[in-house]
Amino acid sequence: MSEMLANRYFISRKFDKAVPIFEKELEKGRETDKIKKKLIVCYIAVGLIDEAFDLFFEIVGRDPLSIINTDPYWDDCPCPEMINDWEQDEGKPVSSPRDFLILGMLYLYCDLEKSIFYLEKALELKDHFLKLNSVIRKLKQINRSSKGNFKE
Amino acid sequence: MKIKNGKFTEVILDSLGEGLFTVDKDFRIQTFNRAAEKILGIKRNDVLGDFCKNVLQTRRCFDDCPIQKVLESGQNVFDLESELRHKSGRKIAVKLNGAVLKDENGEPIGGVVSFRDMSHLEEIHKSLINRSNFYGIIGQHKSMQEIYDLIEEVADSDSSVLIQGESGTGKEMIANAIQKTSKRRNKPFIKINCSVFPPDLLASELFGHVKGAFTDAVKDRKGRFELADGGTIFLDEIAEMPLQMQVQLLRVLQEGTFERVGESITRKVDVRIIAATNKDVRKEMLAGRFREDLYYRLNVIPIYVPPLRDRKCDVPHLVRFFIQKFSFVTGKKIKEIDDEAMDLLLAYPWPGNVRELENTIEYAFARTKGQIIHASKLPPNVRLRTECFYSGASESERQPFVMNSSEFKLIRNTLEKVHWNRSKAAEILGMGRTTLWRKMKHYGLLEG
Repeated sequence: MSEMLANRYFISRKFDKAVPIFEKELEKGRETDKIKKKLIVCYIAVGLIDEAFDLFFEIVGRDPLSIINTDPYWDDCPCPEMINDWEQDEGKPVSSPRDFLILGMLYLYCDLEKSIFYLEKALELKDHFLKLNSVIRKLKQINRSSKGNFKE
Repeated sequence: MKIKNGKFTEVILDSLGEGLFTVDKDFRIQTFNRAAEKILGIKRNDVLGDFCKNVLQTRRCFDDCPIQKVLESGQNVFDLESELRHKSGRKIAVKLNGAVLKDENGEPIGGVVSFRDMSHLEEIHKSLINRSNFYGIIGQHKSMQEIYDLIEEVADSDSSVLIQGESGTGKEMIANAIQKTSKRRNKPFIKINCSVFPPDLLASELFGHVKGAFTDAVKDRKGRFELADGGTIFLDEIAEMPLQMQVQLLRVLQEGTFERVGESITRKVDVRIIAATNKDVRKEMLAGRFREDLYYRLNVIPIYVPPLRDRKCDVPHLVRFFIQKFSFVTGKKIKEIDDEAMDLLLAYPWPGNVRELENTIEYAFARTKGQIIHASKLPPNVRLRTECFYSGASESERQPFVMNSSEFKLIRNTLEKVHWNRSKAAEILGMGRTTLWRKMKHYGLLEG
């Protein structure tokens, strides 16, 4: 089992198979952020939302741009498809704080403002309130500075 | 001067006839050789750095990636039959090889896939195998190709088929091919020869019976139609079916319903009917032996299988096929037939069609000791009849041969025509005077 095989499962969207291999690779301490970025998506896809948020919080705290600057094509990011599936999930309206958290995390890979929008809606999740607040503050800061740069 | 590793990699890869690309551990293309460019119609500069799945866009990229196989099994992949897509959208049959590239610690860091374009072979295979041997039917003649086309065109249809053709032309094989290409191919395929059962028994065979329906009906029994439910039934020699039974068959065709013999419960089935006959059904209709309404119900898709004499160009293919078949069956190492024997086979009119040709080759096999079938090993009827065609006789002189089948009549008629001049008769018959004398003696014609 190797990171390459996990990457293979990731690009063929076999997230359940990728998860245990990525986890083992993290234990070995290899290229952690690159793997963690993918593992967040895998965790969300297989329903391990708390595990996904723990990694998400860690990366946003250290290097949020590594997620924000993701290119859907060149990074083969599945988030746009996943968001589409999630938002159109058999016509069910997205209403629970947990759903908002999922969308907030996924949107950070492609749309910063929408990510903030959904993460704020997820604040009702008491277990993650403090961490969420911290993430939102950081993302708003980046959003403001990026707009400021744009104005200049 | 030593060649340093890596310095000439691009030159080496571009010199290969096989398409080849490598990927890194993220499955982004790192190298893409000239043959790959040519086979796929893609420029390497357009694909370097892109994910291989975005470039190749095949199902295999998601379900059955060769590099994934190697990563999972630890074994390299060889000659994996697959399909790639040319830039134009055309599918290309290829054979893939896959291997994983590892670093000094044995950790996978990339992969290499090479592929051979097999599309030319595929085309040859299709034209030689599929079209000259269509589901076991041998024939390249235009009329046979038209039948294959028709079978493929009606593959999705549930309509009835009526196959007509002389005895021995392969009507049952056509029925098999129709069934195998149809959407009912995985459902029951029941065959029945309508001529082998007496009328009462045929009803029981087709529709079943209940216990006590007749003397031998000791228990309930399903008929062929029930057994074929959801699938196909092949009614061979349909013109032999008694008129009363034709009425019942018509009802199955129209409504899908019938009753078992001795029972009043109406049963319903969904069965596609393929019927065949060697008789001229129109003549049978005119003679009142075949119902017109049934004919039109059955004849939705008519197929006429031509006699072998009308597609002589298929004789060599059939001969080769039967030689292979009997070599396999008998274990004899007979490989071919000589030109003279083939000429005889080509000239013979084959009244018994493909079945007779098969029997002829079987006969020759039994008599042949070496690796080649010679003309002398063919059955006498084939040799003699053909000799008449070779005799150089005029059309009018050939006529008696067509009209009379026995050797005796042929020799006697020829002798009568030339006023018993044996030299002239031998010349017309295409045989030596001694042979003619021997045959005349055999048939008691010497006194004449």
